[in-house]
Amino acid sequence: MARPDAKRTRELLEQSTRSLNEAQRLAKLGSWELDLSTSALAWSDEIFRIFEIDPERFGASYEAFLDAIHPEDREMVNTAYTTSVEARQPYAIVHRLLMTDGRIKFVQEHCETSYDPVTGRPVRSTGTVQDITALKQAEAAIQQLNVELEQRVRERTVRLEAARKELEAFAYSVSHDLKAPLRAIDGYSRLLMDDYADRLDPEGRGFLDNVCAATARMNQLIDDLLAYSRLEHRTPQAEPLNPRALVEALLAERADEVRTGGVAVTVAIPFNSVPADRDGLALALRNLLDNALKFSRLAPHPAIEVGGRDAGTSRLLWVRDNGIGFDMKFSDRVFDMFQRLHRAEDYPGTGIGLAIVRKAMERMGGRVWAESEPGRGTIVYLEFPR
Amino acid sequence: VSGNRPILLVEDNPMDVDLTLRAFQRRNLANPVLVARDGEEALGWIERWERGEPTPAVILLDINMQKMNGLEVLRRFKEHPVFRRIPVVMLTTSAVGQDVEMAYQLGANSYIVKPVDFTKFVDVAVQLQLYWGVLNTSPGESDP
Repeated sequence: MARPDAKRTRELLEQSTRSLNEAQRLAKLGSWELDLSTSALAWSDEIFRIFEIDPERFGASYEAFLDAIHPEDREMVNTAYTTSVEARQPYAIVHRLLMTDGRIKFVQEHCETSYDPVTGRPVRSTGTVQDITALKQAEAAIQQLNVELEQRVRERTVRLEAARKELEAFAYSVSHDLKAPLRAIDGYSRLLMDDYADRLDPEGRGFLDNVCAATARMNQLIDDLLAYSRLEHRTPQAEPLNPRALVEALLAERADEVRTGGVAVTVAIPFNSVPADRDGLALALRNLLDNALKFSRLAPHPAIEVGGRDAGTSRLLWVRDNGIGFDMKFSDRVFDMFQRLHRAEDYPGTGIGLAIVRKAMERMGGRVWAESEPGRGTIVYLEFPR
Repeated sequence: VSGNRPILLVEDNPMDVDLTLRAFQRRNLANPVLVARDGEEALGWIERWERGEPTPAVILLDINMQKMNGLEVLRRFKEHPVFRRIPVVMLTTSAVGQDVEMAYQLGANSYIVKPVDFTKFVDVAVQLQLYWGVLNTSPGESDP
């Protein structure tokens, strides 16, 4: 009766040992045990594999263990163990192994020691050694990638900043170098007009008028392009601004035009603040008011309404006119650069105004859109998210 | 006209010089206008003032000049222990950028954006006269 039982027990034990070894191999985690009374050290198969030591030729020994450790880490490992035994505290440590062919492995060790309950002397140390080289290599690769990524971001930022500076310098020289000759063209045309008018016939004087009008248009074009490029290269500062005060100030600047045009202006904004960038908001409202004045000029009873509405997650401002309006199929295009829907002779402009409005709104995180009907008028909405 | 202190115009664009002089003329400005055609020429005046030549009532200084930038010329004028008291009005083509701010930091007294429109340019000449008060117009020739 005892024999089959013993056989069965041995079988179970062998099976258990096999699966432990298998588990250790898969996890690359070996275990060891040191009997401190006899100094006998036992390694599991996986430890031999991690240390790349042939179990047939060398047995387990503390010296063999120390030998496998990277020379620079030996003292640290030794200290960790002796300190742990003295302090009666388990320890965990990560260190390197130096293989005979120069390869380096990283291992993580855990160890604890048991003590004689009577004498208090250390009896036995048990520990695990796990090969974490693959993990360490992956970590190093990630770190390397991060370093490279940061480097690339730095390089791009420098290049972008240089491009921005270059564009700023370009805009500045455009403003200076294009305006100086314009000043001369306008100046001498007017001098010619003033001092030589009697020697020019009406056609000649008409030519000079055209020169001056074209100069004024070119001047406005340069100013608008500059305003647009400045918007692009300035970081908008969001602050609560009173739109009513701003609209009133802009209307005051246009008081003459409003009066002579007989324009009925109403301002009804039911709130005292919108979160916006000061320059951006001023630029947007200025362009919308100028457009409303311009396009309602020929209406029988020109009227402009500036309104506002709280829309929950955002606040809306609008400028409405009862001017010539436009076909809604152009409602997106009107915000593009150099899009003009009307003849320059009838409605002078550079075709940049609404592009400036859109850019200003986008830079503030807002939106702009228009609703219009030919002959009935236009309403342009500005949306400011809260 | 004698006794009128001069104006020093520092401007390297010959047409701008001509137009500025004509704008002053149109407003019957009686002060003699001295012209320095670049920054170095402008600084050359310091020596002549030190020798006793009459100092200008105001210096009109263009910022954007080829040989020596107007801001550098301004800095040198404002370093002088005596002549730094002469008011300096900067002339710029646009008020864009840090130039204007920089000019004030360096001690400029005012700045003027040179308008493209000649009529406005003439108006600027008038404003200069009014603002600085120190300038004179020829007797009997002022506008009605």
